[in-house]
Amino acid sequence: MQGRLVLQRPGGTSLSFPLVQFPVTLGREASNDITLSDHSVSRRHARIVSDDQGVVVEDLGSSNGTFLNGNKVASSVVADGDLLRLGNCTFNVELVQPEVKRDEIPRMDSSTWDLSTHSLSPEELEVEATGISAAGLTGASTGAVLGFFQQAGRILERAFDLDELLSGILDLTFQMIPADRGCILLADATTGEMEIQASRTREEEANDSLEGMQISRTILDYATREGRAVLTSDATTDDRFGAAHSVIIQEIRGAMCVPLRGREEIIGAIYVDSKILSHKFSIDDLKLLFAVGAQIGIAVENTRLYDANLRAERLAAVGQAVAGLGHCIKNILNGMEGGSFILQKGIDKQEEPSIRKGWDILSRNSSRLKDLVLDMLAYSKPREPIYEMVEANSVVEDVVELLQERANGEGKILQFLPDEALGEVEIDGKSIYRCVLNLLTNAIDACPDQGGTVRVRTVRPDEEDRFQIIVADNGCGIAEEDLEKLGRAFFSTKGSKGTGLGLSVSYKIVSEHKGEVLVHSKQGQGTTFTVALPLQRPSE
Amino acid sequence: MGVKKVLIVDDEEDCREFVKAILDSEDRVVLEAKDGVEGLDVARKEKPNLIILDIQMPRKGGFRTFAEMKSDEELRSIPVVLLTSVAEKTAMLFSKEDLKEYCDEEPEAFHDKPIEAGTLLALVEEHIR
Repeated sequence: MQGRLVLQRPGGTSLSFPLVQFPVTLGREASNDITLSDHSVSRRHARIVSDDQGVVVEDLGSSNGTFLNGNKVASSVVADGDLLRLGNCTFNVELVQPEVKRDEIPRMDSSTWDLSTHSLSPEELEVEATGISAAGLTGASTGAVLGFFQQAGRILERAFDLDELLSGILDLTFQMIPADRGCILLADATTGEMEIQASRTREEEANDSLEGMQISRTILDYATREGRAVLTSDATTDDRFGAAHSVIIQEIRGAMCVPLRGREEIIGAIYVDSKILSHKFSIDDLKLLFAVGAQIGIAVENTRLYDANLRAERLAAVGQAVAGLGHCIKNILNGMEGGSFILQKGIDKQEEPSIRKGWDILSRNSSRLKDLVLDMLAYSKPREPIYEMVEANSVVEDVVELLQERANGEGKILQFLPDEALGEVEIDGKSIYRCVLNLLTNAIDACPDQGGTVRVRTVRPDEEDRFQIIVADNGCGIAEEDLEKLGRAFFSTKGSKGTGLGLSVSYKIVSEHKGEVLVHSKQGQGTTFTVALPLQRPSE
Repeated sequence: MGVKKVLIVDDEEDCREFVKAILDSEDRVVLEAKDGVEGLDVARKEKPNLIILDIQMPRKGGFRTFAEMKSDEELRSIPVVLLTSVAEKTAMLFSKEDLKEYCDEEPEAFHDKPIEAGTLLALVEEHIR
């Protein structure tokens, strides 16, 4: 019995898969006879066999099940007109079709093709790749070839995301090569099976729906096993593939497949094919595709490494955050332990001064704990600024007033020099207050006890849509090796005084306002922080 | 036996007060310094019988202070208790492991913060000279 499966696609188009030889396997993995690039489909989802009962569909233990006319089935005879559904892919089963005979498939005269010249090893191609002639490219001019490699270079430079990289390269490839369908396959890290990572078809409406993207497993195997670039003008008659099953089923008229080489092994392949006879691929098309493959193999490997590093870095950052937090809390606990010890001693000995001292230490450390928690919350919460019109000078002045007494107590001078022309600005007043408070506290801490000066200025440069808050101290300055760590959560140079969160919170608030922080510091001479903020709420 | 001197070097006043309260006794006097720079000054002047040294301090931290003490003929024999606040090595905090980057020698003892009065007192009595 023969027939076909017709896959209905959005936009009213359909794809048909002839059922000629059995069994026919269906699944997400490229080794299936019909590859379905749909995440609701299992890697090896189902197969269709022909036995004495007729044509039978068998579920291969898929996660989401195989449905025949809406009923989940493990194994069931299928009849003409049945609806077969795997994941999001629904097929019409047509079994009383006139038989599909190989002879009926229009053939191209393959006698002019010397097959051995259409499968090239990388070494052979690398020599030849320099000789890509635009005239030989079926779809491109010399300028287009140059443009292609420039654009490919740009994608490779910028892409840190694997999907973005692959789909960018596929789009470019389609501009140059007259393929109907194309995909990039990568070997699964654990099973080694080739899986489709990105695919596209020429037809506009099918771009988003990748189901039905099936590739010739025979051609793919040949390319990845032999490590050769393969071009076949008419796969249905190509001797290398014999009467290979998947080639017949898909009625491929022309296909190219090049391996993607990583540093050590073949990590995947690019595959393109065409069903239309008039779209023949040339040897220069193959060279171009090979050149693309050579470029992106390494890039793909790099992107995967980058992803792995990013994950490791994130884990390390979490570890550091937890360690930093632990450190900070331990310091506070130390203070509390000390406070209660002194308090206890005072009570035991009936000494009023010890009782007072112990109590002071206890309450000071409980407020440190409170500050730490507030900073943590401010740091961890992603937050949109609550914009309001406020006098920027008065926000800064409030902070200066709050800290004036402390600065004076430590023998330090705190000055505020407002730019009277600044006026009202649109900011989140409370957040900016906190930001300036943290910057000023740091500046005061950095100053020597006697002779330290902290100057705060507001500035509205002419013809700029931003204003600045500048905090300058003549304190210890920041060591060059510490400058790059500034603003990193839990990094502190203040010893046990700092939580390492204050500046991180300030940086976060400024970036939420789409502003900037500039730091200028010289060790032993002082530090200047310049916060530049938009005068108005930035448009989205 | 005369009065012995213990120097506590810690930027945090609360911690210094705590150590003073723990070590408060008629045969001991507690000296204070609020960072490594001051600590080395006081140590050279007073030649204490033991130094309790915090690690994270502004100006000069505990590791650098310790390394400088060990390369100073007059100070190298003074026993030291280093106060650590994290037990494990991390990229930016300071633990026993990180000391190796500053100095080959080891202090007489490490003590993890928060300090427990009994343990610190026992350590001081064990190592004081």
